[in-house]
Amino acid sequence: MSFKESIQLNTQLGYFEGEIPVNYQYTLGIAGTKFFETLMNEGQFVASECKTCGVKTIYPLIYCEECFSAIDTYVPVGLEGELYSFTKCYRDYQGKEYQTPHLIGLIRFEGIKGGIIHRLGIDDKEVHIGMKVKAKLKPAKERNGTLEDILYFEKS
Amino acid sequence: MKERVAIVGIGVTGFFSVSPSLSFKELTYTAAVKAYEDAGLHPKDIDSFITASEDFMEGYSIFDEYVPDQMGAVMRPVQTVTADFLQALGIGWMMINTGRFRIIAVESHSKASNVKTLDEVKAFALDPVYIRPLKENSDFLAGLEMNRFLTETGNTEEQCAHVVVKNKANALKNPHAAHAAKLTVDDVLSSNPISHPLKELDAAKAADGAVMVVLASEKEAKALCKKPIWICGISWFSGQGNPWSRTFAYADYAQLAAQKAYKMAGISNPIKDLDFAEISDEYSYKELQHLESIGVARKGEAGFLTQSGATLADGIFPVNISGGLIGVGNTFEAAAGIMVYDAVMQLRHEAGMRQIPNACRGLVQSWRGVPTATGAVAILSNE
Repeated sequence: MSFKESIQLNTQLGYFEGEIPVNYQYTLGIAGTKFFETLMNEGQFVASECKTCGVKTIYPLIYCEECFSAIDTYVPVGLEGELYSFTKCYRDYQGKEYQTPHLIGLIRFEGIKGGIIHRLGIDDKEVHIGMKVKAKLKPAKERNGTLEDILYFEKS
Repeated sequence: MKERVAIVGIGVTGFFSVSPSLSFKELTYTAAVKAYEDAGLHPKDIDSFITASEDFMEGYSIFDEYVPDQMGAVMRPVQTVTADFLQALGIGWMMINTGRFRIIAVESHSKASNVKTLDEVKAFALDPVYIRPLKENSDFLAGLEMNRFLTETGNTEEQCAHVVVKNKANALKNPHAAHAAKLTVDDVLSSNPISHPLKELDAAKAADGAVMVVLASEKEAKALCKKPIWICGISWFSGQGNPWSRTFAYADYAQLAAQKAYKMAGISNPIKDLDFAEISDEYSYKELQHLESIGVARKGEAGFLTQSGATLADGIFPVNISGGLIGVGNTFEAAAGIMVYDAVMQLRHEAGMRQIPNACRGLVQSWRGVPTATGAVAILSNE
């Protein structure tokens, strides 16, 4: 130790309580707005399509991750995809244990780079990597243009 | 040919699950005094200082302003980088390579026990629009990656458990380790699931502590130090930023950083040319994934290599003799500092009970943790 003195008793330990309230309003941006508006109004997913290198990306972007070209083309993507991976989650973002664990998956779409990470409405015994799944959306009237417009992905 | 850069001094506090008797500044001060003493230098001899830290983990915004005094760097050039310790080491290496700096101090620390809402701070790193609304624990991304990694490569949960058993046992010989234990594979496999297939004991637990390294140019190093440890190669990369676009079977950032560091250090066959490696094992499967990504094991063979005992401290290619993050503790941005410290001790032949015979050249690999795809590789040598 580098100190001439040190604390020798637990009763001498001091601390100070502090907190930082943090609240944000995250802008969706051009491509994010396009994705969520299409989801809300048309019940569809969209990918961005790079006219330079041909790569289609979900979630959509206004620039190409591969060649950095600007993108202003969006193409519809069906609600059906393939389960790239899944996990059974036992704790929430605060570390609290769930009474019933959640299945979460990463869903990829044919011919599209990227994917969607969301809840799975699939039986534990049936879920497997590579299975075909389909998004179950909220009814049109209840959608508000957020990730929650997707209820879950189910077996297709 | 540019001058080489060496580590001429290093100090650590030791790592603990809690550290109630010292503030984070006092932790850093402790490591700094040790590092300067080790280098035979006073802070006034240091040309510039670097700290690796991240505001939310510290509990301060503009944390940079809270850095200088505990390093003896008041009224001196200081920078804070929001990066991992090994990236900060690379920045120090580059600064010396400019020829404008002779001696640089690089520091990082963890006071994770100060963070009352650690799970929430970790979850706050998730994408706010496309992932965070799911309200899942950030460990879920590791579970998602692990499941695909195991399925695609053929490595197994049992082989991941061998990583945990090995690293926790290695840590028993490391007086600085916070989470050493003698466990069995069954202990790991039967521990509580956190995000299937990830279990409680597969994940490194947080720790507090600080580390400081003093770097010097070749000329200074030879004058200052009997056992300079040379940085022969160092590189870092960020892979695919969006988790939904990643390939989970291998770590692109580790592969690219290793390829570049190998080229700089003239390494063609890592197992033959290196004596040991310290590999980021924040989750057990990451040790296997990283070993395959940096070319120590072929795809799907890191688990067999581990199970066969090849990566034990007395194996043909020891991995995480220190105990890794699983054994020593996860100190977040400081995590690679623990590994650099152990590598330096091995290469100086001062690692005590952990010393392997004739250690000459070692590798340190870092990863910035969930949800990142960023990591660094450094090759250290005593020749």
